[in-house]
Amino acid sequence: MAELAWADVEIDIPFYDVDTYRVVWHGNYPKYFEVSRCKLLEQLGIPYSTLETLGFFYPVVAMEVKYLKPLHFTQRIVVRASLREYRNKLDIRYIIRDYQSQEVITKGHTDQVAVSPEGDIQYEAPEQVVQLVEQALASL
Amino acid sequence: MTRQELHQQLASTLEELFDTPAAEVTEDAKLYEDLDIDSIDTMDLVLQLKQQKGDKISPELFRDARTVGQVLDILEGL
Repeated sequence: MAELAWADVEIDIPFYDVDTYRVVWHGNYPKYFEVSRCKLLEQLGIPYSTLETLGFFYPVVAMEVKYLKPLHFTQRIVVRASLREYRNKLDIRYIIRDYQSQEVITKGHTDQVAVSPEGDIQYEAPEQVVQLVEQALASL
Repeated sequence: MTRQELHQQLASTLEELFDTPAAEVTEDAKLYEDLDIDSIDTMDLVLQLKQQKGDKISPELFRDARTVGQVLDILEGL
């Protein structure tokens, strides 16, 4: 499936993310994904605040992470979030690269679905969300 | 398509998406309890059915489907 849009963020690995093996603890990677995802959603015209204004939450309902290499304290990384699908669920892929070498360190993927305030899953993205994303994609 | 053909197509879709053994996809099989298909899987299933059947498929149709037979009823009614 093609990448429809993407956003990069740079992060310097902080001390408090590293575990006793002196590498980033596996549970911290989703936070890096979140930072790049927020930038991507902003570019797509659907930051979380806008989604909420439209009447929907968009929680993460599935996630996959492949830890190809470890990350270390002070290492500068680039986290890329790429949009793959938005009409049903929001399917975003992630690649973490070392800033200097561009070596791929981590691969990941999340699915998010629209949920009404009552907690009902929407099996299709709300029409307003589709329109906003398509406007943004057309202007890229 | 006949109901039997729809059944075979659904079974192969479930096998492809969720590794569900075709033998377990009986008319009475409950999607959630018997086939271990959850609400997120249902989304993927509806998306796949939409690709097979076109835009006639409205996700709302499947909201109350609980068994394989009920899914087949919906597909037959399209």
